[in-house]
Amino acid sequence: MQPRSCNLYCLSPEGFHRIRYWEWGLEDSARTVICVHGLTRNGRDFDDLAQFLAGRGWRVVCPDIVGRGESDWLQNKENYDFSTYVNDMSQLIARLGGAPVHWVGTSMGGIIGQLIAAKDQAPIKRMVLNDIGPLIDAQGLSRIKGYVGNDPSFPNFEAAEEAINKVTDKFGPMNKTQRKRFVEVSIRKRSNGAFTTNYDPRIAWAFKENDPEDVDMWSLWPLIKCPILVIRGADSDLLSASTSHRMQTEGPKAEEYVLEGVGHAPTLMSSEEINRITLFLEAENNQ
Amino acid sequence: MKCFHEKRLTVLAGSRFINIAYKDWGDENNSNVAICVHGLSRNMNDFDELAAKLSQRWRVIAVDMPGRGQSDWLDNKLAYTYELYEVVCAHVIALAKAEKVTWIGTSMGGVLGMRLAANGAPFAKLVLNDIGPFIPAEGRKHNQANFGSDPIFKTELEAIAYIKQTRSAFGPFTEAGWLKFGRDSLRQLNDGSWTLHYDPGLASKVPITDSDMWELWPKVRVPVLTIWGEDSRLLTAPTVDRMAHSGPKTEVFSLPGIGHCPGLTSLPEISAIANFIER
Repeated sequence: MQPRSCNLYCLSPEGFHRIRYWEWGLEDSARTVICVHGLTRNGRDFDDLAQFLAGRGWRVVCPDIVGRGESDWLQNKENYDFSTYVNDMSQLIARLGGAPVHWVGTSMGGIIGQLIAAKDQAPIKRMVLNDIGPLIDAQGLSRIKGYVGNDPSFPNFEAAEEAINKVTDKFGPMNKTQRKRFVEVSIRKRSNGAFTTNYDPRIAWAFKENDPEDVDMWSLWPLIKCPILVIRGADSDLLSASTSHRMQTEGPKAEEYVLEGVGHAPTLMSSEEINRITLFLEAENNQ
Repeated sequence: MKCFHEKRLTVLAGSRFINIAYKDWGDENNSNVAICVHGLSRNMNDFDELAAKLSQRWRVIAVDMPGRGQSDWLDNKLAYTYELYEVVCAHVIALAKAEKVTWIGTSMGGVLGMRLAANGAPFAKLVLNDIGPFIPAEGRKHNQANFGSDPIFKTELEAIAYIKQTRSAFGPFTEAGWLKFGRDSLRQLNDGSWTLHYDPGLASKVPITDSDMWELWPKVRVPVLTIWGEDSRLLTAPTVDRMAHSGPKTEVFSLPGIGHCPGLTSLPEISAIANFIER
């Protein structure tokens, strides 16, 4: 099964830009889930989850956030911010018909999800937060700052593979085939034949120009009304056990699912993860 | 024949989501899409005749902007700005599963069309109904004279008479057309009385000046058709002339004896628009 490749034009302070999204399953399905990737990743990270859910009758929509994958790059780096991403995703929900959707957000995708879900009348029914919460440890951000946006050039696929594997060694669990594809979607070919990372290096400007501090969004947490499943890599340096504990006891009182031996971030490719997510998404909404 | 569906769209408006109402005419899967946006105090019903005709070959989406018709009102009246309306419009454009859409904007809806086009919106063509990049203060003042005064009428007939009197430059309308135009302008309150179909909080307290948007004009890079009521106080002859000779060099369809603003209900107007967008 291959996804449909679709374009959407979104308005930001610098005008319209085009984003690409990958759509799986029936276009007119009554159940739609949007899957949003992490900082440097793109919509193809969700191929396995998407195929499985599409097989169960879901419409699954996986955008490349602007500056990533096959979406446009912005003219002004300052517009790579959550305000732009939240607006883009609101327009994506409109494109899908405007009805409330389910949400799966990995890392940055989970921050976008929380920002949307905390708003009055938010069109999100149930949300999976993958290794992310309302408090993000500076330590993990520091590590990301070390590799993001360096605009590397790799002479061949093997060199790119080695570099990608190095900065994503805590991602998992993945089998050999999945690892290979994970690398393939992480890179693009430059016109000179060399490989580089599959995003605009300027998406990381805020990282580059500031010293990492804890990001505290606890004020949003009680505003979120939809049921939440938080997936936590036990070795994560972005989502701590104590943050996850507080997510379970306050506000929307998340369910938790822990993956041992995995850091930031779980890839949602194993059948165990996929089954757990499906169970949560398909549970009756008690609201 | 009723060939539209009334629908709701969730739109991000600052710190919250609001509901925007629209009429979806024709086949939802048609990739020929026209989006119609009304004037300052008007609503989506103004496009019923046009949409009914176009919808045999087009999907036509006619929208109520925030604070008008069936769309949500904003708690913060200062948030009724072009910036917010543009965000709303971007959501409406997103509704269309087409690479490009055609924009049909009356007055305020035309200003939005110019702003969006200059911002690189995925437009195929642009129809401006009695509006351009320059609006003289005198015309704006006249247009907004009774705006936001929130009058209450005991009967619908009284209310329609008021609409007809204060909007006499609109047209051309048949008698039945006036009746529909009047009814579309009104909403009934719980006690049975009638008032206008918009949030009185829309009226801006800012002093009215000339509105000069000529910097947008060369950035509009799609074919433009301007419908012009020759007696219009908002779109004047020198502006029409400059619109026709600079930037996208608009085509002009003139309506003698009509002011602000053409109602887009007569056959010549509808044909002019249909011919332009289908060419």
